[in-house]
Amino acid sequence: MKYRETAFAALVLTGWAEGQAFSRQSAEDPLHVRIDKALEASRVLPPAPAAADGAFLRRLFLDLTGRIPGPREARLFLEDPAPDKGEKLLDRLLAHPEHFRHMARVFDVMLMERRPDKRVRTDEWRSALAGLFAANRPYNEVAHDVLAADGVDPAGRPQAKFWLDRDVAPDALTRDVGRIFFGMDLQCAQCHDHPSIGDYLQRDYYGLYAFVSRAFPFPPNSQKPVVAERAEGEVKYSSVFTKVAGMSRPRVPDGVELDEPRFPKGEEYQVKPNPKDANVRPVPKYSRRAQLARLVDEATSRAFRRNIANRLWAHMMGRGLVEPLDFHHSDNPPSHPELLETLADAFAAMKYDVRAFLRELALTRTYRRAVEMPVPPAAVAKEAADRLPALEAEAERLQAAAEKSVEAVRKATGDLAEPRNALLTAAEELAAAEAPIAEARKAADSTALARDAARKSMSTRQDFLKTVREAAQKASEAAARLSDDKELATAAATFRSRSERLEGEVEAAVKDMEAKTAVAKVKAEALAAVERASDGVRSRMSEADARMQSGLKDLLAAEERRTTAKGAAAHAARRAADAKALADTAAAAESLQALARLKTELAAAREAASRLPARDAKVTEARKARDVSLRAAEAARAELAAKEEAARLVDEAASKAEAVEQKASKDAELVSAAARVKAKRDRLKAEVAELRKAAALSEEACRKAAEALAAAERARAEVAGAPERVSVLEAALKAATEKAAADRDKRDEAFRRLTARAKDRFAVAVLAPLTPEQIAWSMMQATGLVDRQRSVAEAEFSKKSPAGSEAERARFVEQFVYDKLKGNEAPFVKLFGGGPGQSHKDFAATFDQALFLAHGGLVRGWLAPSKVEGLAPAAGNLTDRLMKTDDPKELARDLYLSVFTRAPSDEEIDEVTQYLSARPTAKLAALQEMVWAMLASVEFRFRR
Amino acid sequence: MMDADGCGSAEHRIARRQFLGSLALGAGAAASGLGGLGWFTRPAMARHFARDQKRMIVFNLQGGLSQLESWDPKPGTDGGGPFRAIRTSVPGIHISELLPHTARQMHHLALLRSLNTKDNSHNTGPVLMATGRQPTPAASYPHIGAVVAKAFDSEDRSLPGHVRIQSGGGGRNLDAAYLGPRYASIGVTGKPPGDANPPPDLTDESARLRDDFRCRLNRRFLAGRDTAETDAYVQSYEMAKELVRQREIFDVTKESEKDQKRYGQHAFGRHCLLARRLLEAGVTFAQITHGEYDTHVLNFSVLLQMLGEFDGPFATFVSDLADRGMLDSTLVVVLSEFGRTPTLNAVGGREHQAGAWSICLGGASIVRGAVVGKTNERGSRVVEREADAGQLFHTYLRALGLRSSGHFTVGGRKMPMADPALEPIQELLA
Repeated sequence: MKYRETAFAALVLTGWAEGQAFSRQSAEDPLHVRIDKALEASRVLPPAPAAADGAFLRRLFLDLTGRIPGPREARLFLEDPAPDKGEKLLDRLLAHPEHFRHMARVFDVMLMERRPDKRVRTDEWRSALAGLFAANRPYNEVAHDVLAADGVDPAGRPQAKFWLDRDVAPDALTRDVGRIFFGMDLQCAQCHDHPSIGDYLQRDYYGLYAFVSRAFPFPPNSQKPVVAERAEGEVKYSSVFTKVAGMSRPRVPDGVELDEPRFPKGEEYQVKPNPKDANVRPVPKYSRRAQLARLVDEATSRAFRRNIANRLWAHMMGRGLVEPLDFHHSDNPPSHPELLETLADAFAAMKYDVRAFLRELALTRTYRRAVEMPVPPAAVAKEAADRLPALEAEAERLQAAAEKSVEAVRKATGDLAEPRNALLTAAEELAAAEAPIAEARKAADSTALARDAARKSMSTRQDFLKTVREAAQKASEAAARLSDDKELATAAATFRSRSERLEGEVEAAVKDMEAKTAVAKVKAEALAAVERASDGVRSRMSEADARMQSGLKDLLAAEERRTTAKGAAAHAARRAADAKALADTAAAAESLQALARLKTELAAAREAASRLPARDAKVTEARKARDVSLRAAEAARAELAAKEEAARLVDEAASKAEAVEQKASKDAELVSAAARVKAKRDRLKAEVAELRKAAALSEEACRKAAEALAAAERARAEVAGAPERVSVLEAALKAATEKAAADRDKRDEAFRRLTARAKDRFAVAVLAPLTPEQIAWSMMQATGLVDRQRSVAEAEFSKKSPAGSEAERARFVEQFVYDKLKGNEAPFVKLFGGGPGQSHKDFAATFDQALFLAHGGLVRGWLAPSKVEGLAPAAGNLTDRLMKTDDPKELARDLYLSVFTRAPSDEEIDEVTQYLSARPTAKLAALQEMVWAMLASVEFRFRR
Repeated sequence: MMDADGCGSAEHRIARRQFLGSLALGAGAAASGLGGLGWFTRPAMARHFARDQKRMIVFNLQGGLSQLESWDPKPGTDGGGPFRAIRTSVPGIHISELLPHTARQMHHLALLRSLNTKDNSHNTGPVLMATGRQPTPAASYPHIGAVVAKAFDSEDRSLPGHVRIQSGGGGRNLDAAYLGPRYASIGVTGKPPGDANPPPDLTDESARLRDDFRCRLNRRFLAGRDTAETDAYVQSYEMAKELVRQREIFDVTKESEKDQKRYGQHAFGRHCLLARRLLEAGVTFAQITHGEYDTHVLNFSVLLQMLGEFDGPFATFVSDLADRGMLDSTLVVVLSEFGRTPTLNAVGGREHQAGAWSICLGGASIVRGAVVGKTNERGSRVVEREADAGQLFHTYLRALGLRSSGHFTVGGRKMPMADPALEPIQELLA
């Protein structure tokens, strides 16, 4: 696959997303990888995680078989630990007859849009389509077959439904071929260029119209018509508003007009129409219908490829890259323009293998996403806000480029006016020039005929004259020899006289012939002259046509560039808007964050306040300890001072005693007394030193106690304000709670907007409503109707063909179940479907649908317990099975698996248990009520 | 009513409004019509506001009513027929003597005598008249009833907006085209529609319990997942419940004996009384079909009988609406599919004539007592103010206060309410 060099390259380069995964698409990657990469590369919004197994299973069954899975199928899948079980299931479903039937249904609705049957029964038509899907016919061939079918061959008649049920009416066919095969609803461009869609032009309408305008239902007024076609009829149109006129040979909306062969007058048909016999079906040598079929088969139109890629994408993903599906135009660009190109190209490269394409889509992560949008983390929202300016600048730049491309289209359109007018003038001249041709040809033909008649009459007479002359001569010779034979002489005379008369006649005939030849020559020359004149005009016309087609080609190229540029601009604008929405969500969540902050603060304040009493006690205690230590220090200081005083006095006494001792050293008594005094002094000194030490210690203890007190006081001070803070915070919290509540709507709205955007970006799965047929078959499956019929069919097949293959069994069972239950589709289609001819995607919720489920007999009948006797294992329906289940937990699990394809939560199990225990004497009624409620629930009505 | 979430609360009105599709209306008068009665699910409130709600009723005289024996009599002309023209409550306006009661209500009504609809066919003529566009195989357009029902829809409407009163069966018809089934007509017969009646084996308690369970399921499922579509789906069950509760409005026998007698015991009389009942209850659009008026054979005696049946109940209906103050908000239209030729055929019948015929209309913003347009002496050709079905369609919408050049947005597409190339007939509009 070639990488398309488009304006998106720049976008891809700036891409950021989960894991900043940027990678250029690699040709080696399988399509599903390329799809995920393409989406991730341009994604701004955070994607949803993968859906639960049950949701994935249900989705796959609904999309590929048109019904929900049965409880056995669900259990098998959910309990299978194999990592590749999804892929295995996918392959099994794609090869199953139920899938072919479902695709036939999907394509029937796409192609016929629930029109009531007219000429071909839906049953036959769907069977024919199912056959095509069973054989996995490529889509281009299916499209070819549908558009080429004429209904003449009885075996192929059902395929002509597209034409026949539209009464072969050209306008109906133009509209629906445009919408269904090319994705363009050109209806409003029938009488004038589309009033609001710049791309939809009257010439596009009439280009398609030219393919179908020569077709008509044949024989006229038949109850069982086929499609026939004329060889003549050119398409001209003019706008009811601007009066601008145009003409067109067949062309698809994004192609040039076809070159068509010209046949000499009267040689246009293989089977000529017979004006006298309306039962001769004319067959032209050149069929415009066949050209349309050929073009779709060759699939050269990008519009054709984009249309089908988008439709199949929508089938699997719940919405198209372009929505509405039949509204492709440059003001309604795809959500991911580049992805649509990738899909269209890849589908072409796959040779339009629908099955393989659906398989790739189902394998993407995109297909598997959950329907819930995760709340974006604040960091992501912030990052989005930061990126916003860059994204907006990019969007503006691309918008400017897009405007240039629009200007280029305008110019190319203007350039087309001259050749178009020349063409129209030439066409008028040609008509004028050709007008005398018929007259001249008639004259030439009739004079030539007269000339030929005269020539014939002349030569007849000449022959006769010759014969008579010879007779006269021979008779004369004979008469001369037999001169007395009177009879002979008379005869000879008769011959002679006749021959003389004849000579005159021949002469007249020759003259007549010459005159008529001259006239014929004149007339033939006159014819040649007018034909030459018309040839001259025709060559001028084809010269104008060549200019027209080349101008058209330029215009188409400009249009394609415009589509690309506008798509890129819109895409960039959307990415900027995504980032904005993401940032807005964060802003809307601000009051919620403030609330959370306040709550934390309040909790802290409350906790602090709760510590206050303990800290008070600690302060008191520390103060007490400090006081004790102060007192002790004081005592120590007093004791020290007293001792020091005593020591000082003793010291003085000792000094005096020493003086006494010196003067009276021999006086033993005095010496001894002095010695005692000195000894006392020394003792006291020691005691003072001791006391000093003790005083220092108690000072230290005092300081410590003071410190402890200060610490305790500080600790108390820390929480001292807490009670007031609590009351302040409580008031603030009240206000913040109110504000957050008031902001809830704003927040919800922002989140809803974000979710809606995420859906459009395929960042979350679409919660898509089921189609009427899906509702019908899913309800029949949930209530056990389908499984019951399947059991019967299985038994019958085993009896009938004990040696039958699995494939034969599957076919038999599918056909059997379908035939038995298909009658139940109709009431659902009538109530839940859009009207005939309307787009099938229309969703409507009406009270009569609700009443049909609430009061109608059909669905309520399915809730009555019933079983098929004699079949093993369980051939009972859901209510029958649940009636026999005593354990409410087991019952809840079966109920949820059968109806919702998932296990119930504990809350849901409790709910079922309580529901049953509240009605001990009415289990059946309770069961029916619960099953009904589940069938009528949103979870059942939508594909999650 | 049930509790809120998961059960159709008023919470997501905006989403529902988006879902219903935006309606491009003119400012002022038109916008005020959008409120619709459906806002009020309480019948008392509904009655209180009923007077201002816009409504429309169509009497479809099926088969092609002869204008000569009704709205545009030509007594004394060649083919004018045996019936006289009589005076009406509006000086100067004369209508056929087959409509004596209607003649006395003429001051509430107006006539358009210059219709040229160009379509003589029983197949396409009625479609043209109902949709205001020439039907083609390529496109179908919504019936006037669907357009009016949508224009006056509201998110909480509990009654069908578009009703056809018909003798046959009920059920939903296919007449809303791209506007979708919500606006397609419901056929009613004078009894509550089929599934509105709870089946005998469904007890009230059972119905309540299962519905509570459904709401609980929805509430759990929808948390964080609701969309406009899921919301509409949930709401449809509320509408259904409301309809079941109000189903007696479809039961014409609940009207007084006296009224039933005034309207007559035949089907048409009952239908007119039912129409009055439905419009009073808040139904936006009702259509009654009467006929067969396809008088190819014995035109005069058939019309003597058919119009004899039509005249009384119709006149009673118009005067009742006027008495109840509803006429100013209710557009009344008596139409057909085409008119008939002045020339009589061999079996005393008249053939189809789409080129010159009449309709009668009144109420809402239609000028009372107006006569617009003129045919020639025999009534075979329009000679003044020619009008067609598309212009009439615009006129209906404008008479109801809608800007008829507006459009609906359906599935991302702008769909004009009426043929954008045409305009209303101003002379009929006040």
